[in-house]
Amino acid sequence: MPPCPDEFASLYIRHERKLYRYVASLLVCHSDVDDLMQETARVLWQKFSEYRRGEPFLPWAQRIAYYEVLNYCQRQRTRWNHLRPAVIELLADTRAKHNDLLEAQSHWLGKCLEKLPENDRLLVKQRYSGEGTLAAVAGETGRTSNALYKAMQRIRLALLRCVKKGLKSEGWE
Amino acid sequence: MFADPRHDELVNLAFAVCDDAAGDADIGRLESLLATDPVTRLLYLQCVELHLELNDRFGEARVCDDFETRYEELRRHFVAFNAESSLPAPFPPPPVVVPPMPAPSSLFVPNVLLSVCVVGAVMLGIGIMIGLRDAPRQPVMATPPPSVTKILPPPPPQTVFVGKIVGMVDCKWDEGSFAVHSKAVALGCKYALTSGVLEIRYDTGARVILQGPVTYVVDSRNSGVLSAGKLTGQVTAESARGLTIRTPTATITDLGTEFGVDVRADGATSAHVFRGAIEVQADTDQDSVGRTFRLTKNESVHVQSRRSVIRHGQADPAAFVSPKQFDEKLVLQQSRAVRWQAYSRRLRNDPSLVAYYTFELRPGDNAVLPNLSSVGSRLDAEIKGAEWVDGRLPGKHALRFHDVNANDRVVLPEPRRFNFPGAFTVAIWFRVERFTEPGQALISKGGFESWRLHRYRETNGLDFSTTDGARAIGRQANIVDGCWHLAVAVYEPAGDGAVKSLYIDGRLEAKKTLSSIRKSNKAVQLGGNNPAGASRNLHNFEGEIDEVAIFSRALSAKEVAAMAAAGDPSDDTVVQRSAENHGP
Repeated sequence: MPPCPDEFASLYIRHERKLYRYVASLLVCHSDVDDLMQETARVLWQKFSEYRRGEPFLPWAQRIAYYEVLNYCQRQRTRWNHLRPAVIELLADTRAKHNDLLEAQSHWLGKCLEKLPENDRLLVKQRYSGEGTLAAVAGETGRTSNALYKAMQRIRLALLRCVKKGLKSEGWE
Repeated sequence: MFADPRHDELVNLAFAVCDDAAGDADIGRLESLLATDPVTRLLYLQCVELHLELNDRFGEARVCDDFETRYEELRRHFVAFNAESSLPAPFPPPPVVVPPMPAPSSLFVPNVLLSVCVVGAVMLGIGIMIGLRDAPRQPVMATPPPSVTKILPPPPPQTVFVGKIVGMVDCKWDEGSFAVHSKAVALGCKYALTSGVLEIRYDTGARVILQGPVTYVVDSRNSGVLSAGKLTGQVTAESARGLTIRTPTATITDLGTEFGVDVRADGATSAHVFRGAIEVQADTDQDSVGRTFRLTKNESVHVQSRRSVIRHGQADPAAFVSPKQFDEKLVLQQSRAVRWQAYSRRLRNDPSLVAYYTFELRPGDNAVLPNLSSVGSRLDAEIKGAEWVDGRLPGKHALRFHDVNANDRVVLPEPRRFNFPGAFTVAIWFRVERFTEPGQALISKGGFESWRLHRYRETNGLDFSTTDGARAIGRQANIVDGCWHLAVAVYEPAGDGAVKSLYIDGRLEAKKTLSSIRKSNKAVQLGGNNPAGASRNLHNFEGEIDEVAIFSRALSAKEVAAMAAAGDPSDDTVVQRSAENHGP
């Protein structure tokens, strides 16, 4: 008898975002993440009968997603924009060890965004909102893509420093 | 600038990767850096996480999506997915897409073509995984044997929806089962309740009312397997005629009627007819295999396992929930939800309410627990690992904290806001089926540093423990029963010291005097007692929580009783009386 799709859909959607982040962190070609998530979801559903009820769903799903990433990169190895499997494995190990820290980071990001100068915050919002390619933002603001790119690098670096400082104050780093 | 200049380079490369702006040489260099040490890899992951978090915060695509919509989207997809087993359609993508940096147009691939390519590629990948799934991780990605690639993927499970759940009353799910989220009922779905009542309405029109404790599996368009517990079946439509219930010792087939089936732990089956007629086929040992009985109104038959004892008797309608009684329960349950909603709305106007979490899902972000007090989203809490499940009333949600090792918790922001200079009250709805460790905490602010509401040692009692060690222990109320309970901890300065009280389900369980409570810079946590960065698995809760309110004043005993009455998912008479008389 097939597994119950309601149960799977319910579990999957509850953990979908975290799974997405996991996959994205192992792929250097972020435009591939959506495709790989589709395939990972399909494989998860096919293997759902192997999932033991009561076991945390996310680690189980991440294990499968991990191999999906490896296989995907292996298949795409003629393209250079994928990491080698050995490096992906190292990244996955590091992520597993520091999962709590990475989750805590989002809390501090909110605080750090509040500290940004208004113009910088606006730029971040433009970049990450619906139509936010830098080309589009450049068109709206009259600045060059190159200048905006440098500005975004500077802002994200500032956010990263702020977040790391906050984490350190809580004893994370 | 970072102390290590390589880290500056790494950060630049990481963000270039996030923007899809890294070239081949960049990727090569990034690989070299990532291979150096764990600190570098962590820094890279932090960059990526920051980028993804910004996507989540500002991406418009996510805002329009909500849990229910996404859920229905996925569920519908299964039907199409299974109907196209030869070439499955791609799974609906997550609703998260913020356009990357300008990408070369040559990378554009039409969606359909991409889907076909990806599916084909995944089939290849699955073959590799099947062949090598038991091998250690590293060798998996060594060059796979060519022959393995010929292995076809397993066929996708076929899903057929055959009915829906039309109502649930006070359902508690058995371990290993799951809380039903959707109303759709598919073949193979198992419903295991330890208590409560649930109705499945088959598309044929047949009604099956399950009474917990019960285990039932839907195995065809008009039948099911009852392995333990009770059900009531009702067939009024011609299309539902022939509803069949299989048990370990009998097969009951409806002939147009209302009937009850009771399966005991040893498999013995009793079938009762309340209206119309049924056919019972005994499936016991050689003496009675194939023996079929036709029962009519007010008759019953008992089929004993092993010894094949078959007794005829009178039907016992009082032992089963009738369709009419179930409908009445549903109406009552809805009225409880309406009553709580009215109470909750009034509560939000209380100016002393600092934080209020009703466990509503925020569309598009199920990692956030929204605060509904007047303080607003500044006090939205962060969910770490805990899983959304059905709450104690229809339409409500709760969070399940899995076990002590899962380290699930919810972290409230602004720790200093919860260092109250005077009185305060903490109210929390929860349910627990078992305690596994001493001191498992429902809610905590710095543990011993300030205050917490937790299991007292290895007992089944709760403890409102505070800095000075003066305990207020609610030993009397049995809270380890899988039912919803309200715990309210009240702290109030008095004279040179203070008084703390602990209420369970609106009743005062314990009251103690103490000197005072120390302030703590630690965040308030639900389900955990761990300060950030501390050792893991310390006093984690295992159970469910579905409402939390924190006040900057001491609630009176009357107010606590009103809160318990208004939110109680089971009590009827007391609830209405108290809620009406003692609203916030």
